[in-house]
Amino acid sequence: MVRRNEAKMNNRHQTKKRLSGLLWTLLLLTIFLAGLLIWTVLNIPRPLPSLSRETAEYLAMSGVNNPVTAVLLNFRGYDTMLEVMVFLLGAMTVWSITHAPFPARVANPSPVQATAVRLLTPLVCLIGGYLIWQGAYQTGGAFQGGAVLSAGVVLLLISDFIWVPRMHSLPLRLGMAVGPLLFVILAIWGVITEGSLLKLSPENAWAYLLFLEAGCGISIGLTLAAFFAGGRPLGDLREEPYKADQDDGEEG
Amino acid sequence: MDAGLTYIYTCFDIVLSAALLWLAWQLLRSTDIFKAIIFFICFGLLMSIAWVRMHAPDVALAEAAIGAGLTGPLFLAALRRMELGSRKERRIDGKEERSEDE
Amino acid sequence: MTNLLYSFTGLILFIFGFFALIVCAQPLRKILGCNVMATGIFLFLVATSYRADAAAIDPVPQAMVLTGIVVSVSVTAVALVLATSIRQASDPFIARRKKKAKGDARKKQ
Repeated sequence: MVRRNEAKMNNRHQTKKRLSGLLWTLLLLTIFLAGLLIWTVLNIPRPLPSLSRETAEYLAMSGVNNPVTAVLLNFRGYDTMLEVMVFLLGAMTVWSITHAPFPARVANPSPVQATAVRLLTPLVCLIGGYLIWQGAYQTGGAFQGGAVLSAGVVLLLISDFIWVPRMHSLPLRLGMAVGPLLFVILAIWGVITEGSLLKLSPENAWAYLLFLEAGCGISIGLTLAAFFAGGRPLGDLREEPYKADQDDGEEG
Repeated sequence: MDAGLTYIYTCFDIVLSAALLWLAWQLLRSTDIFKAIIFFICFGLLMSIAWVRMHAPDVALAEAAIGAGLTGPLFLAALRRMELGSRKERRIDGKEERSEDE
Repeated sequence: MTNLLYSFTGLILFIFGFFALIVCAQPLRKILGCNVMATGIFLFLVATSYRADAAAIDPVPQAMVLTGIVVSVSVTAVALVLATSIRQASDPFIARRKKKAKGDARKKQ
């Protein structure tokens, strides 16, 4: 019966030998769209407006020396706050679909992998933290450092340490929530002290932004690793809230 | 001297753009899904070089770490979880190629 | 000249991704096409604001592209988990393998 299903799949795939009429129509429509876009690009009025002069003017008031970080966290901080919340929402969506499929036992335990992961994880923490801190005056910032931290956590998840996906999920959830929480606290603090949402006073902005970047870096790292895990944590969030008679992953 | 440097930069830009377009074409029209994902990772890394050429080092770091370094393993993990592990199931036409080595 | 070249590259990447999104049948390839589309738009955005001297960069499009990269990875992750769940719920091979595994686990108890 398995062979019959496979033969049906093979036949279905082999009928697609030459481009059909529908495909040609789509191709022509796409080429027409491309031509339209190219004509639009050629007709952009030049010189283009640029905000580099204004950014350089107000850079001293923002508390950091890197113009991109200043724009990201201070001048357009509202967009970044919403983006961090969208990030958290994506993790919640992934968690509500399934729980993380990790195998119950190690397939081929290897001492080389264990040693490499043990040596690399502190380095990853160091480099990630340095990139987060460096964002204030050079290239770097919360996103870059958070991505490096997430690479370290992904390395732990795919290595032979099977206790990592089965840890208690409270530190993970707290770490994921720290970034948006700090943003909201800072926004309310801006309303209390200055009278406007997310308004940071110029002399204290460097301290606010340092805490904000650290919190956002940690939460971005953990949320990206949660995306890679692809589901609810296995430690204590294993059970589904509704009664379901489905399977429970690759266990067993 | 300046004209020569600009000429070298322009040649580099043309080669980089051509490589990006070729990688994008290959990743979308190759028959094997696994090859497409590997092409996507290479595409992300070349895009990181393009960001450096655009004087955007922050975006280059983020693209190399997130765009190539995390989205690639996301796709590979999804490939594995869909149980599309065997070479025959990954192809569009489902044919097993016996001439290539595994 | 440089920014025109990269703008066109970004545009053509967008067109490639768009074509793959509407033509390819496999869900993984559609999601790859979405990512290529997003990368093309980001390249177009930054290339249009490119100036030759490195001192006068425009940081606002770069900040927007940073946000965009992060949001696109989030959308990709959600789409991949959805595609995996659909595939696992509708594939007869996977369902049979899982039922066998659950039956073996029950027999072991």
